[in-house]
Amino acid sequence: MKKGDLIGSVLLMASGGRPTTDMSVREYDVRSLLAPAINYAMDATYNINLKSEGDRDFPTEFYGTYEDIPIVRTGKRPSFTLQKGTVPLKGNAGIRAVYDDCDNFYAPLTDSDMATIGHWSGISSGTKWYRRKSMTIELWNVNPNATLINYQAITNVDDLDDDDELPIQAGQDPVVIDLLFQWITGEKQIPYDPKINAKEDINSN
Amino acid sequence: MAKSLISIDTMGFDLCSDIGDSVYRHKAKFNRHLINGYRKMSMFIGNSFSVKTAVLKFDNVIEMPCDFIYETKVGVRCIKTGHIAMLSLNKGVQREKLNDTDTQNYLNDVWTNGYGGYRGYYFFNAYNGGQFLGELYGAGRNVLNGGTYNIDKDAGVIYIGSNIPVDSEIVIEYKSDNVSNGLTLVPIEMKECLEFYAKWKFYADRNPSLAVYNEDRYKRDYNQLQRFYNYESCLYATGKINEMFSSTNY
Repeated sequence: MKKGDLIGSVLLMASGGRPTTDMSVREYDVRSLLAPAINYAMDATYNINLKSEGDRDFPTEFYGTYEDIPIVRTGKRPSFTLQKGTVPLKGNAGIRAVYDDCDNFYAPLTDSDMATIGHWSGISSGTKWYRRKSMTIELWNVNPNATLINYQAITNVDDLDDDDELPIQAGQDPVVIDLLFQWITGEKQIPYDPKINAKEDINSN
Repeated sequence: MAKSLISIDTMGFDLCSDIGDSVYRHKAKFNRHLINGYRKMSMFIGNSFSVKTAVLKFDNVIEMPCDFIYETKVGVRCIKTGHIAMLSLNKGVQREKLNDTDTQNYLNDVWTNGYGGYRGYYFFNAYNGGQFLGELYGAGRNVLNGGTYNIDKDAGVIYIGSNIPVDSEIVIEYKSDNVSNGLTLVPIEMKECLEFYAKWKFYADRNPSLAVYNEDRYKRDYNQLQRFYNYESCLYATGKINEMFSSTNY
């Protein structure tokens, strides 16, 4: 679902189907709450997939691809700057597939691993790592010929354009819409049965 | 033994893919376990003997390289002339006990006169930090003197005595556990066994049942590798038996 479409549909629902100029809910109200709602759905997606498939991966469509970012070599270590903000997901899943123009792949280096990397000399010399420092990514053991970097990232919703697809897994769209409606109006919608087995339908009694 | 090699890095990526870790956040842990497993295998079931030489800067106490098992040769190198005087050789070479003055004269003699009059020995596979030097050449003999050096294997350090001057470097050839700077490739026949080892250690605290499963598979593969590395053909064994009973009929 596109970002602009979702905001429009939530605004329409909040206004009772007749958006007017004197509505108390404005577009920026929806925009400001969009990121937390999406993040919630994204976390739910991760847990659903892990439970049903044992899969720790997010859908490929979530990731935006950023290519040919220049490697800066003026600092203590070679580095590059993230082009847009990322979603702070569990397991540092916000960034993946970091590779340079020599096709060398880099793996994330956590702080705990960094403490032992000196002892495990084989780890530091033979392989390539990246370490995130806010919006800067430090690179370890970069090939001297590499000048550009490519990466994939789940972009922060606030940094997406209205024509961009939102990172929502199929089936989670209603969850996001419901959440936004609930936060904006302070009311829950008429309860429905999410499992479609009539057990949670209040009208069935 | 190996007909083909595979990089530790590739195996780390493989393991991440196997467990569905597409962002490779567990790769450093897997690499660490893989290297640890390889260190164990290369020490106990590998049949290759690798030595390395490290050139260490002068200090009162010098830390040994992390892949050090035991020393095979020790020498001391004069920075000005670049000549290396031997201090220790293998035990097959006769050792000579020298007093302090004799030791200092011996060092000065080798350093100033070079290799004249002394027998030479090679230090193989030499590194100075990360720089590969190839082979180094030392001259002299086994020297027994308390003022030269003393190696403390438990502490992983070498203590330098008062007869070693400041403007020198310690050159030490040692048996390596094969996991040193730049380890990137391991024999392909060890791949599965190493991967089971890495997964066993990885799951040890996360999922005990998976850890037990992987430990079992690792042990089976380890035994298989041990047989593979120690295999000797029937013809070889028959020849050895014949050799025992007859000095000519084999």
